[in-house]
Amino acid sequence: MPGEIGIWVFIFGDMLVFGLFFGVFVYERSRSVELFEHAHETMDLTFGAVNTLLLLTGSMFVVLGLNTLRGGASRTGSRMILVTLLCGAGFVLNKYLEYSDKIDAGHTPSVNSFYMYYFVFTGIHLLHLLIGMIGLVIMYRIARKPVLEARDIRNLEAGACYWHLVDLLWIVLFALLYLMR
Amino acid sequence: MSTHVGSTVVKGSAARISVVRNPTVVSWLALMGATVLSWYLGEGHGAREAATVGVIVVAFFKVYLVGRYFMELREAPQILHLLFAGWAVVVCVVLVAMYLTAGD
Amino acid sequence: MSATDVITSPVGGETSRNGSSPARAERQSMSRNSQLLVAWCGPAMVVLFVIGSVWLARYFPPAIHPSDSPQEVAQYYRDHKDAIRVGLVFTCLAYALMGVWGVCMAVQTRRKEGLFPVLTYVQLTCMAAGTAQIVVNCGLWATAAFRAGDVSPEITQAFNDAGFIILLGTWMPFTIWAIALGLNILLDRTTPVFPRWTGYFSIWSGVCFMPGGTVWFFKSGPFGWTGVVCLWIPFMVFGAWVLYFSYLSMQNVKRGFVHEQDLSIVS
Repeated sequence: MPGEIGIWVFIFGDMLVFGLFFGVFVYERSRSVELFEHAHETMDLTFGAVNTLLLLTGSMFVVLGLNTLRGGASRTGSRMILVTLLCGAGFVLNKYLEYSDKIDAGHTPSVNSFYMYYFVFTGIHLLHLLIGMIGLVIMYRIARKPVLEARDIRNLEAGACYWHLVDLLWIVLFALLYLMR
Repeated sequence: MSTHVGSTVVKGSAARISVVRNPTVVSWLALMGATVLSWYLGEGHGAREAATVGVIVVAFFKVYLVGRYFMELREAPQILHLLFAGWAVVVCVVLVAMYLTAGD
Repeated sequence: MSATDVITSPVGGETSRNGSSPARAERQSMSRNSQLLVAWCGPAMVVLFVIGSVWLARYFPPAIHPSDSPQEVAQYYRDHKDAIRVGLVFTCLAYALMGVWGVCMAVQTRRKEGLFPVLTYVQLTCMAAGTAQIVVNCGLWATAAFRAGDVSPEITQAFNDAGFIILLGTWMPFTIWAIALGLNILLDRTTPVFPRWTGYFSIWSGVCFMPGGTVWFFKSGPFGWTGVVCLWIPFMVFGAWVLYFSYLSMQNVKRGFVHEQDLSIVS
């Protein structure tokens, strides 16, 4: 099992909650299609797409790094985790630019329900991502140890799985908030 | 399988060949491709309803790929794999159904 | 499940039982019973909450919506004054028991945390602060009921709002509490007090209390105080968290896992 059973309890728990979020969004959308379509036209797809690409790339590097570290301690492995951390930082920066862009244009959460869902769901997701970045910093420090014990590998796997959770939740949010029309 | 990859990263051309064949890299390429496809569909190409259904289905296919290859569920106990795939299928079907029955 | 492996300590229990004075044995049995008593406060709290808030006062699910007009709110309080006040007595009792139940968790983790139980102290502080908060929110609702119909409806509405805004909006101590409990389990490199996976479960629960914070910003829909995200997720997860950890604590105590670390020796 990747990581340990506990991290999967966390992951499935979060997937359940986000599944509910997704359902709520599409349900509310189906009740006021026009409003959502109208608001959706003001979304900039590039922000969302770039963030998707950043997360996917980061996820790949964390897997490659983990595979390397399983073969024994190596600088390559820890550097790959650093690349993932940079992808995460890029996501945060991009999100900051997007939020300020939206707020400058007058699209605040109180204006309409599309933007209310947009800000709340992406905000909760961003919180998950920031927790994941703390996890990546811890993983980086573990990866730089001269010798990796079984416990270290387990913790690295758990951190990696959490990071992939952040990635896959964003994939669905991207589809629902940016692409659905 | 994973330890095989780890041992080849040492140095030299053997390592590079294994990176190209690496399932992680291949699935990353597939995920990037799927993202570009759904970006294209979301930007206004294709019939509206079909494009949106496509976008949702592609999204959950991507989710499944992330689970199978990145989260390494293909090597995990069957039950985890099933739960994960089950979640993706159920949520996907519910969302598509709600979208299509929205009416007008 | 792994808690069963934990018990290498029948040995320890045996020796202390054999080599101890009757006074010591008595003290242990008292500790055992008091620990069971506080663990049972978890389920008791849920029952009292159901009687008070679900059945009598109807604060869960809330009979009053955040989008209701002041007149509707005042009307509801005036028509249901007695049910609300009696229900609030039960609800407030339930919330007060949370403070007692929190001690149960702290005692469990205290056994293993060592001489300076930092995370246990964090649990206790946040648990006490959280208890104080939600006890106060019952007081605010009781205030709303106190003069409902006599004063202008806006006043009744304001007190009703304040109750929900405190109940759901101040999730912070609860989240820190659950995370501290989770870390207590996960940072234990030997065999933790509770099964390791419950550490992750506790942290996840803490994360699930956060959506309650949306109550400050939204007057309707899933993020308002009747909403699925704002109300149902935090409350359902909190209930499951309390009940499961109550169960685990009772199991620990029943297995004679009361004095694994005898503090009288250490300090």
